[in-house]
Amino acid sequence: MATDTVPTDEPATGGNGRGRVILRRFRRHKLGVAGLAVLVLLALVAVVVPLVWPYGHGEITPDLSQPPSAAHPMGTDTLGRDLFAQTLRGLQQSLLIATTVTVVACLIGVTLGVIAGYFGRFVDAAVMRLVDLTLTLPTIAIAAFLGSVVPTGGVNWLALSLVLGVLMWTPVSRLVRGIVLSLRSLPFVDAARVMGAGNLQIMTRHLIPNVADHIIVAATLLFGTAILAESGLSFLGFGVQPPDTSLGLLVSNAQSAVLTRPWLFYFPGLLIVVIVLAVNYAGEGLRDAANPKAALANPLRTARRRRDADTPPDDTPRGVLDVRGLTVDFGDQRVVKGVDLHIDDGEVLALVGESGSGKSVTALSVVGLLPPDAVGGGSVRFDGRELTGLNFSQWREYRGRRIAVILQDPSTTLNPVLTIATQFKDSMRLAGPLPADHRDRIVALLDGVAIKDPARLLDSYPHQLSGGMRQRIAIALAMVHDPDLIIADEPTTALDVTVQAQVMSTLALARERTGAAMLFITHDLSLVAGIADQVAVMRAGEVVEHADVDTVFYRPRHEYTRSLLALAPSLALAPASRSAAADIEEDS
Amino acid sequence: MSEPLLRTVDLVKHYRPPRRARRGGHEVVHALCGVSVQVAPGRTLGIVGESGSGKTTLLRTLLGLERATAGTVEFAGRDVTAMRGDAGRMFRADVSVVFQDPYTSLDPRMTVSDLLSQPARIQRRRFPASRVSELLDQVRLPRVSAGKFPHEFSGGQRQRIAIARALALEPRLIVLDEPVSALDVSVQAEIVTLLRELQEQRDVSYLFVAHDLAVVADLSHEVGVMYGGQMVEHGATSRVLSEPAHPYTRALLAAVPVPDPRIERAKPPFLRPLWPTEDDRPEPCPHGNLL
Amino acid sequence: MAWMILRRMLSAVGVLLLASIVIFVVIAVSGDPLADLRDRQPPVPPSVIQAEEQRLGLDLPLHERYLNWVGGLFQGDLGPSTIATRDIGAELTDRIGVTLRLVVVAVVIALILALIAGTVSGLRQRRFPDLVLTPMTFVMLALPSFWMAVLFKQWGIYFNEQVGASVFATVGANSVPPPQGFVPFLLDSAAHLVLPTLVLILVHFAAWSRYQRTAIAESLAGDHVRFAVLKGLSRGRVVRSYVVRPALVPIITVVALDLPVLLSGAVITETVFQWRGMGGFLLESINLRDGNAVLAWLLIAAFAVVVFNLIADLLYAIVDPRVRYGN
Repeated sequence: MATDTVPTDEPATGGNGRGRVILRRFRRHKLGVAGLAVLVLLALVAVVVPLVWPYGHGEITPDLSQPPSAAHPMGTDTLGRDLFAQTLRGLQQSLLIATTVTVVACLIGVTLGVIAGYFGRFVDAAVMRLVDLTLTLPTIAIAAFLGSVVPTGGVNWLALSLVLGVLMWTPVSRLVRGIVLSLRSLPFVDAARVMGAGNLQIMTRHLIPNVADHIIVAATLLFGTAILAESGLSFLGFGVQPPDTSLGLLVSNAQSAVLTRPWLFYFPGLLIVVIVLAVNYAGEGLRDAANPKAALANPLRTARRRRDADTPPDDTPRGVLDVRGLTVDFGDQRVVKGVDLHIDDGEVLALVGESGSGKSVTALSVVGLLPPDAVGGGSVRFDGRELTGLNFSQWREYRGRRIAVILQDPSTTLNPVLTIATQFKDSMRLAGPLPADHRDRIVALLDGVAIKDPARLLDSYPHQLSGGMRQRIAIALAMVHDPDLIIADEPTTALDVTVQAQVMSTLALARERTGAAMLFITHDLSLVAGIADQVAVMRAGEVVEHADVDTVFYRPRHEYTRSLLALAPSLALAPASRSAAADIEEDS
Repeated sequence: MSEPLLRTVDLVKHYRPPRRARRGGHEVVHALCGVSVQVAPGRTLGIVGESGSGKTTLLRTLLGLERATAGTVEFAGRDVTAMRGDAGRMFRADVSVVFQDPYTSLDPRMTVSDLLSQPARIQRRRFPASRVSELLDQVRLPRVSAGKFPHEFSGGQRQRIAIARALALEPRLIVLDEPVSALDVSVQAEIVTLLRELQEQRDVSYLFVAHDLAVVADLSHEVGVMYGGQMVEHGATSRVLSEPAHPYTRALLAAVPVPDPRIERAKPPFLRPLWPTEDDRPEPCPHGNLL
Repeated sequence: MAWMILRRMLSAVGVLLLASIVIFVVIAVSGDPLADLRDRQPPVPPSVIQAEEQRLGLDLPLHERYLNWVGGLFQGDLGPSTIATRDIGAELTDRIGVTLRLVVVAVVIALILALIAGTVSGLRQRRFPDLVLTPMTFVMLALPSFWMAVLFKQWGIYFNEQVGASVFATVGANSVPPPQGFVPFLLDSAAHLVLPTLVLILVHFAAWSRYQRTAIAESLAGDHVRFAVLKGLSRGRVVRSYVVRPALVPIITVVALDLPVLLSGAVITETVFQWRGMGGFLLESINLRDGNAVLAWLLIAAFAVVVFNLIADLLYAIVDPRVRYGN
């Protein structure tokens, strides 16, 4: 995976390895880098230029109401103040206040968020009520009121920042709480606790460092909001007070001059826009760098194919599914290297391999759902017809009706917001309008996967059912149209061993009833001993052995197959399992 | 059998369900219902159970991550249930843990050398720099690993780091929580071999918890089978495998797939839950409603 | 379900009660509403100040003042104003309608547009029209609402001058006096409504469509969508029931959470366009140091937020059965 190495003689300190990785990823995000560059530039301008500019922002020059000139590039106001100096001061004040607000809000938000997420229960409830409470108060109203009551010529920037910070910490604390809530149940926190670490130690040494990058992202976005809040408040006259100034106040002062001296209005306004835009892009870049998401899958799109792979082999295909020279590339990495598979009518082919062997990607290519960053090649023929290169509507002639698929995790494959009956009806409508007796049909299908009292289930939602139940429903859904080919991708991996046995029996039974062929993908060689006719063993993108089940188990030719068989830990159990199964048969 | 190193006596853990669920007629959940186990020095006790069997609660309770509702945990003859005082401190140093998922059991922000010295740091003990290399040697990782971060290793290598960390303070008992179930078969075998060798060399005891009977059987001298918060069967591994006494153990054994097509094809279909059946339910928890 | 609603309502009342205490205390301790009176030259006789203190209840301890105030609320009395002739309740009732018109129209339009744009963007990531919409929303997110408001107002005036007719009304919520007859009144209202609502719409459209885009993208990558596609369902059915419907949940929460921001935005917009709405009322009250009036305003805002969150919870339950069945 990651290839960078840290010098080993260096005494190890904190976790800067990750920081470096994030930085490297961030540098690839062009808009993010540009945003950060603009921000740094503006901050430099705000600090340096006022030092060298001949006029102070409050300095009254003898030139009253001047148009722009070389000495006063933006002109002067009615008191004779240099408007460029004023704009610089506004920029300075706005950046200063937004930074302080961000720091204050993050301090409060991180502290409360970590405490709420770590301790949970009533501490969490109390903090969340506090969040609710703060959220009911419109920031501008409270800040304006507090700003107005401060005596002696309005608020100073620090008081304003504190007020805004106290009102704006909630998004940070919500975010931090959410992450800590998921972190605190992670084993590394438990491990520290078993070693005897105290609460404070766990929070400071393990939790805060692990939310640091999220905090940075949140802080960036907060900075943008803070600029907008401060300038809005100053615009209304409750923020920064004259003779000092801020970008919002400058816009407010220039309201009446939009038509006469438009630059006075546009320039500070556009400065705000540029700052916020730069901050948001920088934040987006940081977020992508800290939590890189692989291009999210989009099953509505079909994957790209290599050009040279468009000519299908000219020999006649064998069986119901014939895969020839299948390849899949991610970038310049080839993860499936020319796989050949074939399944005869009504036959079960088990595709076995460990993680990274390419078995799942192979299955995805067969059903036309490769991730968007993958490029496929080779030929996949179903019942003699080429499947690769089909578009969405062409695929629909096969999917569901002739090729049915069962996926790995039954807790995510069913639609959480539709009832079981609705999900069946969706499938049934493929063959035309719903028959009047469709509910009986569904009950019969559910009965076929050994679900007791199926009528009761029709109006339930998936989350009300157990994992084994959901997977059997997924099997029943696959059987709606009596498919010719079932593709099962690790259908029992997420289940307990006794539930696995039930689901496997159900699947075998349902398949026999329809006489469908099956491609069964698994990492567990033992699991397919009873169900497979043919076995293909995959390793590192290649099929190393493809033979009938007895050959693979009793006379394996490839060394890898032999080692898989030797290592399967259940071998010692064989006699016990056999006699236990026999006992159960007697009992029933 | 010699004096047990770890012993739990009638450990009970009840969860109080959320108020809303109680109103709906749900009773208190018996996560653990009077579980007594013993681990002898230098031996391995395997605990098998499916999700919801209480095996994880047992482990968390005896590690002090959850507070027991009733019952005691004794370590080397001293009561450590509350994890307080000298007995608690000694327990923390003498017991370590390896969790299931090597991707989340190591703090991603720490280097390997940080991770290995973590127990000593928390316990405020001396930890010579040479110890890191020593530990890496023991789990057969190259010494240059010390400066790397967990994300630079494969799953099997990370689990070796976790085992090295568990060995750091020379514990007398290592609790193994599904240490191989997240790994590929070939890597599983390597880790099991490593664990067995370490036990032979250092005379350390293991409490091995897993859902997979086959893996547990491989490493354990004794096996306990849990169901519904109770220990339904307990005995020497060979006895439990050859003469399972409890119907649930039989069901579990029958459900384990075997890499032999003839055996598998001969098995009857399992279409209904194998156990409990209608007339053979587990006993209700005799410890009753303690809340 | 009924139990859940009841629980939510109780919790909402709790938050509201707490909010009332907090805002009451904040306002009570932050400055003396009679400071102006005391500093007046020539000095006002102490008896007048004392009478004023008594009228405003300032001579009582804080908790009694709070209880009196809450007691008054239940009888529809929002407390005395610093301006003896001002009736806070009556004035607020006048102005709520104006603000409500602005906010409701803006929320409805912004939400509809955001749902459409976010969904289209999420379904067609990094292709047209997402390639245009995404940068557009980024720019919109960066536009300060007050600046936009002034800009639109000035452009409106300029446009009116160019065409020689007042197409956009830039002052007030209605002409003074309002035109007679229903249709002319409606047209007049619309002419006044266009620019201020546009400001509010743009601000919130951007944020909401970003959320919707993310929600759609995540939903689209879910296993249940892949499963639906593999079941052979049509593109339309997959998008409607398997992608969009589960993705409606996040946006509901976001809109409810954004209500305080919306109210803040309304304050600014009303100020620029000189509407006599809640925003103007707040600013006037602040300038007059009319604590009870600010209090009443904040209470109404808090009430609106709590009610909206309650509605969001209910919608949540309708869209997501996992919530409905208390799981």
